[in-house]
Amino acid sequence: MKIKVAEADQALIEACRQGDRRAMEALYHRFKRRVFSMVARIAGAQDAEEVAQEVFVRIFRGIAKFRGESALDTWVYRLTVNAALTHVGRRPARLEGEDALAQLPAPAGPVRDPRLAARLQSALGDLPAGYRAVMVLHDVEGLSHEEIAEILGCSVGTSKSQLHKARGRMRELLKLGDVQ
Amino acid sequence: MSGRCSQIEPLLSELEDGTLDEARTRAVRGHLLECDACRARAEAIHTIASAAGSLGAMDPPSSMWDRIAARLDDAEIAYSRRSRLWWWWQAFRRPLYYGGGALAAAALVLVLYLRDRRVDVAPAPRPAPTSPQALLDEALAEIERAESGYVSAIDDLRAIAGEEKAKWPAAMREEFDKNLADIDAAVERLRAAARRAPGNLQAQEALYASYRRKIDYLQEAVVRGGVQASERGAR
Repeated sequence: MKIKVAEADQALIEACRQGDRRAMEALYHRFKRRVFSMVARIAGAQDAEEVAQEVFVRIFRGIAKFRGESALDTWVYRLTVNAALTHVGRRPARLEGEDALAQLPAPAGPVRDPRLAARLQSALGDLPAGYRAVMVLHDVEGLSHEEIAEILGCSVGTSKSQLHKARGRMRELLKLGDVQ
Repeated sequence: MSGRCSQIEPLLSELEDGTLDEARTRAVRGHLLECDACRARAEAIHTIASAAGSLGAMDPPSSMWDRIAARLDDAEIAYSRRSRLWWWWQAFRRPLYYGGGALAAAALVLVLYLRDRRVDVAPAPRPAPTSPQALLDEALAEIERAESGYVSAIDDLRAIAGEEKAKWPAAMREEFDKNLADIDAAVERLRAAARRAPGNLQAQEALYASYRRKIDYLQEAVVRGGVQASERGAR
């Protein structure tokens, strides 16, 4: 088995396995923004904290069994996406597409067109969950198709085609690129 | 959408991401220069990808770590509230496995001795230090010593299970008795097989594995029964 965990992560993982609360907090601070953002954008802002908490509890419970078959980041994102998609699957249908994302606090990063970004953030909630996950991982989080394929357990080709379909659906939702 | 546009459209995302090979990149760009509809789609994809990339990471509530830490504490407290059987098993299981391993090693030495002895004795019979029957008796005695360790552990567990069983639901008691009877039948079959061929290490290991399975089952059943009983108590 090929170990993919970076050397610097080995000590942190080992300390978390031993139940070292300071190491666990360090791991939390390293991933908290990405985990929370992914969850908020895939599962919806209204339940983001609950689902993100669940993700971290699963990380700390599961770290004893983490054998380094993937990078630590990839493993954490896989747990995050799985928890978020599971939550979407359990949620009552009426909440799908709810405009809750539009009520999120302003993003911390630079935004060239704040109005478009807000519309896009809101429209993300109207995408089917699978498209939404791929789009969040690729376009928002900047992960490669290879990483997404590893996280979602699909092929690189599937990741690419899902992204293309997600962008096409987003074009319709935002009414962009229509030439009469 | 024309035939050419239908071919181009699925490639626009890859053009945006720069993952298209050089030949198709040139062909798609050439088409975009003369097709307003596809150019508009490509620009829309670029706009969407750029806007998505500009969405920054979001900060979780500052109290989130405290809540996670509290959940971890709760889980640790719940874990420490194990039945006395669990605590007993933690103290006992290692010596049991080590004991089993030592006995298996002793049995291996005995088998090797028997095999070598046959080779030595065949060409020129001479008085053996011990008769074959005595060696077989010794192998059987080894099996019995190993068994006695397992049987003693099982007797202790059965006594605890006997006390706990009264608190279980009737269906669980029935399931427990049936499963235990099945395991006992399997143990008996393996015991008979091990006794028929005392030098057969595989048969011995299968027998010891069946004892360990029985111990695991008794332990699981008592813990599960305890959990169900406490849940019913809580309701």
